[in-house]
Amino acid sequence: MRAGETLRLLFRGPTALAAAAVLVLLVLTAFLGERLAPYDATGTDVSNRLQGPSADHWFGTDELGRDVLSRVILGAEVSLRVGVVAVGISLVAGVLIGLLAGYYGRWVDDVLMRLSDVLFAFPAMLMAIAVLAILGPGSTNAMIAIGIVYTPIFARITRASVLSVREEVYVKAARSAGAGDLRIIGRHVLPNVTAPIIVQTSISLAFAILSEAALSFVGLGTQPPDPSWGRMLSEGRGFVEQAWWMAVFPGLAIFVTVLAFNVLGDALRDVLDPRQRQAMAGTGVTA
Amino acid sequence: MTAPVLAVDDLHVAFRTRRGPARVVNGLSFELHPGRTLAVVGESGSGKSVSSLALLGLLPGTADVRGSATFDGAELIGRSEEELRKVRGAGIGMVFQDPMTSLNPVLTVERQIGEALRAHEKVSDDGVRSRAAELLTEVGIPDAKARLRAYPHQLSGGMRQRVMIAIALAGNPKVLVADEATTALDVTVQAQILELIERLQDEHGMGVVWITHDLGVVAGIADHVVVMYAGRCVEEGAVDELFGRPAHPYTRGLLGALPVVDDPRPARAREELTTMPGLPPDPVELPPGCAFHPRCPVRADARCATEPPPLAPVPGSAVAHRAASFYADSAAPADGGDAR
Amino acid sequence: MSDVLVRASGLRVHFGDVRAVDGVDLEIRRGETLGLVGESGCGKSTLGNALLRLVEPTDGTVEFDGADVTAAGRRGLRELRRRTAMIFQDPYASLDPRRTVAESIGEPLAIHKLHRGRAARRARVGELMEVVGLDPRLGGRYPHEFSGGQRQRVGIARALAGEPDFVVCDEPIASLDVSVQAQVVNLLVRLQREFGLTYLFVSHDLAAVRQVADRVAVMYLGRVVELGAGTSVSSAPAHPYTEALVSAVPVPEPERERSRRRIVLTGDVPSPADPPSGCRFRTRCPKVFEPCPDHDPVLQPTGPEQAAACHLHGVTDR
Repeated sequence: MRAGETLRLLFRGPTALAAAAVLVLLVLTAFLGERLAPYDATGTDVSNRLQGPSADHWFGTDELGRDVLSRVILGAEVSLRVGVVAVGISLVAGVLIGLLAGYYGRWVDDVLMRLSDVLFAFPAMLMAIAVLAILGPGSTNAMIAIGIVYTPIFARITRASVLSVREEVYVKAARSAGAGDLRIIGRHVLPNVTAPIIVQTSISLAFAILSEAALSFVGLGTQPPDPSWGRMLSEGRGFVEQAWWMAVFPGLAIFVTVLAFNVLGDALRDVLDPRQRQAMAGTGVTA
Repeated sequence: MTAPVLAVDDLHVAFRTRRGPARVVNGLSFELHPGRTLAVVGESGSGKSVSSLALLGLLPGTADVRGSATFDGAELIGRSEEELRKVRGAGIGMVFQDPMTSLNPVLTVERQIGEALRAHEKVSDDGVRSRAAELLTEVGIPDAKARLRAYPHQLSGGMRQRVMIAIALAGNPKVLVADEATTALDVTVQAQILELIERLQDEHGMGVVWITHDLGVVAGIADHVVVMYAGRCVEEGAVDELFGRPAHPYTRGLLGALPVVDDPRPARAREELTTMPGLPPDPVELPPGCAFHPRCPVRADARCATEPPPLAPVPGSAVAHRAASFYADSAAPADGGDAR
Repeated sequence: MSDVLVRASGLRVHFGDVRAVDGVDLEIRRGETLGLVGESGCGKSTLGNALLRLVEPTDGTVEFDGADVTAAGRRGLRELRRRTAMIFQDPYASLDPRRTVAESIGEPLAIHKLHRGRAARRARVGELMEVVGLDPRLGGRYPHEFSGGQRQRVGIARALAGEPDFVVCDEPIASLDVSVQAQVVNLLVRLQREFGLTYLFVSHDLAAVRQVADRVAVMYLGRVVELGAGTSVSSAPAHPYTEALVSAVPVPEPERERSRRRIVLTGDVPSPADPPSGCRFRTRCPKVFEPCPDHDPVLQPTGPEQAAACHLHGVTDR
């Protein structure tokens, strides 16, 4: 019922609705993948190389004659999988770290947060590249690298919320009734810190997809011949003058996806932030 | 009798909300005479604070204000922001509940009093300093010169409220509106502030509108009392008359709900406090007829649910005493209301 | 079985330099309501929390039903938590906004494994809601759907869930409207009589305390300065601070209120980080005399069932 109200408020405006529609479409595309793609995404056809957009090849073909549309469609699955798994890793690790640091405070907080400060101090891309240099290139390792890079953000956001929720009277009330730490963290603290985490998840998905594209662009992410938007962008770079479609369509896919996640994240923030929410409901009459 | 310094007539305030208009003040009228204290009593949501904010044009844009309020004969409702600004402070000073949030935390006491002084007259820096120090001394702050340099957080709650009063006094107002001015304070500090305001009132001849939920405070300082419920005055009268012969069932309920500190009986020998069932109505969906009828202990007929009772003189009272209830005259004491 | 349910001896709770509770000896008798009054910052809430070991005492001991609470281990603490409960000031803040009121009320049952099984637990929660005057059908709703008074009833039902012996009511009516305050006060009194509860009723409102408390303890700057039967503390206060406090509480009767002599204290309460030497009230006391700055008074009997920490009743020193 509360979730229902949240959704109602979330989709009052057209932008959030549009963003959600784009993302639903993206997920469908990723799931249907090969069934949706008109051609084999890895099948080369040298006689048809570097063809511009046409009725046969809507997005044209690349330098090996592969259908760009089919590769963009299959790339959706790669991007989404890397994004979701990477964000999943940072979500679980970060929230756990944030909960422990925020709830227990003292040395637990010091140790965990200093560690995450160190992680945070490196530029994100550099950090991911360093991790991949150790683990070796590939899409699985890219997920791990991106996951590690975004862990501190979740840790910080969670910790900040936990610090305020920890002081709430209802937490003290649970303690006075005899609740142990596990119960308090699981039943009272975690449910009350979800809002900023949900917002961050949405925004991080955008960043993770961008990172995957960037890592693949420099050759450390998804390996050939698997299609990946970043990889396609990188490959298209050399042909911008002869075959603009090779770079433009995967670029557009990245752009639209990232934009959709960001828009949804902002909309979620507006709805889940209780202060904003009251302003939106517009019934804050006190006499 | 002298002309009232502040007269409110048939004031209505409604807030526009998504669910429809929230009718928070519904036809409030009262008069305040110079040197007198009028208490406006009510629970949260009764419209008591909103009506005072309406007088000074301090309500947000979502509020529709109708009716009339005159200060020294001049209409306040519908005046421009600039005209109202002159009235605020110079004509009507205000003191709010929370002295911590009504003071700016990053400005010294001197700056804040100075602002109020400069708003009404041209004064030099030295003039501001000496006048501000005078004001602080007047509101009973010792070592005023040193306190001028203090920031709000360096003062206790009682001191901050004194500073607020000094700011309100800066323009030599004819009327002081105190909105729950002692609610956030401890009782011994409240006693200090009450004493201060009574003294200032004597010295300056100000009229005071005292907005509060605390009937005990009202009993001590008010000359005339207005009891509000759901945005309406349900009963008004001279303080002794109203407390001595409360006529409206709501007033009687409120009085019965109060424990008395010097009741000689031990706790276990006391009867229960009088309670009223239910809650004040939602201002968006006010009940038809008498707004109090769903909670009224003496409600007897269908008239209460259809026809709003007018504010009419209470039968048998010698002095001005009016109540808005069809059963104002069936004034058998409410349970426990007069028992002590 | 001892007559005393809760006993604090030499209890101190310091937060850094701030001596919130600074040497309190107090007994709470089985089945009584002890009122604890004082103004903001006097340490009354901290004392209530320390009795339930919700804050750790810096020094001194608390006994609950003969057992040392301050030394209790995990199991002892768990038992204490079941046999005690707290009712909080702010009914908006003390309920988890993400849990239904039935979940909140049932939480002590889940924690202490009482009334096991879904049906039994639901029945017990319904029963508790009825006891506090709430419709059990509203159990599935969330706190924001209730008024302040109803939420406080939820808080009370939760406090009663584990069938406690001792309940600390920490300013239970301070955030409620007058007419709702009376409902909650009446309810608390009724529940005490029905279930034989022992209450510590912490409040800044002496009139409310008098309505419910058999005995009253008055706190000032971390100490209990007067303790006695409610009737004597309010009608014949033995400590000048109590006297000022009683005189400052307004009475809703105009003629009497106008003629009452208000004792207006000068100045502010000193900082609990740096209390005055000797008697802590001496800086504001209208009756201060020679021994006050040098001797720190102890609670001494001033009459039957009454004691005060004041040199006017004979000079003492801690």
